[in-house]
Amino acid sequence: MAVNNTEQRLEAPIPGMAMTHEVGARPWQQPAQYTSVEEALQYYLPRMQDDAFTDSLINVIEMGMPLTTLANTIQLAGVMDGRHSIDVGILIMPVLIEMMQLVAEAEGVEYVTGMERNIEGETKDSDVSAALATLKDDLGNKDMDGQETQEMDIVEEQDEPSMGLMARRG
Amino acid sequence: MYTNPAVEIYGKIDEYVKNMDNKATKESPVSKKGLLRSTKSMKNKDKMSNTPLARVANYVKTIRQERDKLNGSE
Repeated sequence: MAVNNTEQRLEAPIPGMAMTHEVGARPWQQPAQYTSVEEALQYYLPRMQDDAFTDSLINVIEMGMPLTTLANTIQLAGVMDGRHSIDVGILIMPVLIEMMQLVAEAEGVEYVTGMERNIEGETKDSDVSAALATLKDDLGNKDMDGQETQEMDIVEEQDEPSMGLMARRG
Repeated sequence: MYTNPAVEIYGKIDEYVKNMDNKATKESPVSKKGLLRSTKSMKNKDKMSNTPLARVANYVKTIRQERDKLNGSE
């Protein structure tokens, strides 16, 4: 776990990295090209019906990539290019998802929307909590004699004199 | 923790579209002509239908109808 944290820390942006360019030098710092939902959709929808885009989209969908993730990535790229604002990007996401569903169904490809309920995960959680409850009941009903002998063993182990350099003498 | 906003906005729009469908089925010419018809100005209603959310819901509804046609024709 520690190794992963170090890697993540190294990949993080350097403090001040956002200020390495003048304000307004980046596309997203300029006024957006498309300011309304309609204009943004007029930009996206014809491109989504393009054969080259459709082929690559189908490939990604077949890989099991959720449509919600794809829609978010597409709109974020639009924001980065200065095409539209984040607000417009958020608003057009449902239309992008519906459009991708239409494309996938037209091609006969099964897709993952990213909004499916994780029934297996929910079942596992309930199984774990049921097992924990059973275990607690079992521990509560356990014979007290057995517990006392275990506690005595622990006390005897602690009474042994420590042989370290910093140990107290006498 | 980062969460994808697409899930939330899609859920809201989905709910909006379903409400639109329900309203469309509930409305009938008889109820419009009835005595209990509201005397409130319709200006607010027009404004509501022009909100970006409502416009997006309309687009989603249109694409959904296309999907239904596609699935029905198969």
